[in-house]
Amino acid sequence: MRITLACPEGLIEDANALLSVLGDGPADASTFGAAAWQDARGLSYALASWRDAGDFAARAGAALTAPAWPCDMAAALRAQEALTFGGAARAQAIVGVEGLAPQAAIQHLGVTLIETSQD
Amino acid sequence: MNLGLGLNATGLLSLGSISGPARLIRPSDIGVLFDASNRARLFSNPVDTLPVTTPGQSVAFVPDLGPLGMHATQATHSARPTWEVDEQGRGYLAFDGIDDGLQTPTLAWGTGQATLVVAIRKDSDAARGIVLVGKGSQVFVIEAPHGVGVASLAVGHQGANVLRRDAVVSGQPAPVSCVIAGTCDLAGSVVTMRLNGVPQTSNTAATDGGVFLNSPLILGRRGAGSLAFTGRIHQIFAVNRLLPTAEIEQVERWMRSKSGAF
Repeated sequence: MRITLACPEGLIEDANALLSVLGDGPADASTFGAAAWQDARGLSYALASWRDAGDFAARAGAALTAPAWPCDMAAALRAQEALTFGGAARAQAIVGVEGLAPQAAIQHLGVTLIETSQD
Repeated sequence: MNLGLGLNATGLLSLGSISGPARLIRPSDIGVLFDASNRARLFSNPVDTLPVTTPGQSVAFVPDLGPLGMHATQATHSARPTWEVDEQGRGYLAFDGIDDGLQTPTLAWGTGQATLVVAIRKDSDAARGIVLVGKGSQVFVIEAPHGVGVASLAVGHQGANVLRRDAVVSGQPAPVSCVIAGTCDLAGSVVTMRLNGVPQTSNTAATDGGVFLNSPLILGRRGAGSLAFTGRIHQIFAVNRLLPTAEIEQVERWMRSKSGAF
C-alpha cells in the first residue's frame, strides 16, 4: 500500500526522528527534505511517499522502540502525537494518506509544488 | 561478448558482461549505463543483498552496467523508486514525483562534453521533473517536463557562465513514452536534442566553455531532492564525450528494443 505524508515545515525534524525509528536505517532520518510544497494558505510542507507492507499506520501508532542507530526518541514521540490520517495537509499535524497513487495523494492533501527558479 | 571485472557496492569482486551500449564507454571514458528491464540486476537494499523479486518492490540499488561500476543507490526508504512491469512485460523504475531519486558516486567527468540517452515515460506535466542531472553549477540535465504545466522535454547544459542553455521540444503531453538523446558541448556552446531517433532542435547560446564538475549523477530528481520526476525510467546512458550519430542511433535502437518507447 502506498503511504504519503505531508509534514509542516516546523515539524520536519520531529517527523524525521519518527521515520528513523520506524525505518530501515539511519538514512530514514532524511525522509523529509525541504518544505517544497504549500497549501492554499501558503503554509509550507515537506512530502514523502513510498510503498509499504500495509502496516505503517499500525506501526506508527504502536509503542515506539529505540532503533539500533542514534535517534531523538523525544522528537519521535512528538511526531507520533502529531501524526493523523485523512484530510488535507494542515498546520501542527503530520497528515498521512493511505492507498492513493502519488498524484491523487497530492490532490487529496491540497498542496502544490512551490515554484522554484530555473536552476 | 566482453567480460567486465569490477567491484560492486559492497566491495566484492563481481564478474559481469559488458554488452550493448556499455561497449561505447571506452577505457578512457567516464560513463554509466542503467537498465531497469531486468529485475535480476536490481536490489531492494543499497548494499545489493536483497534482490527485487516482484513488481511493486522498492529499488535501492541499480547497477551500472558500464565498466566503471558507478551504481545508483538510495539509502532512504521513502525515496526509492519501485520496480514495475508494463503490459508487454518490460520492467521499469516508477518514480512518484514526490521524493524518489537515485544517486551514483562522484564521477570525475573531466570534460565539457556529454552524450545522454534515456528511455522514459513522462506521466505528468504538473511540475518540472528531472530525469538526470549532476550537482553543482556546471552540469547537464534532462527534464520531463521542462516547466510547470508545460508539455515539453528538454536537454540542457550549464557552463562557465552558469547560465542554463536548453534544447526544448514542445507538444509532448503526458503520458508520453520516448527515447531522448542529447549532446552537450560547453566549448562549442551547443546542446542538441533528438527524440525517438529523429534530430529535433539545438541551442547555441554561449556557455563560456568550462567542464562539467565532478559530481554524482542524480536520477529522478534534483540533487537537493526537489523537482521530482513523475513517470517511468527504463534505461539511462551517459558518457563524457560526443558520440558520432551512428553510435547515438545504436543506443537509441537498443533502448527502443528494451523499452518499447517508440
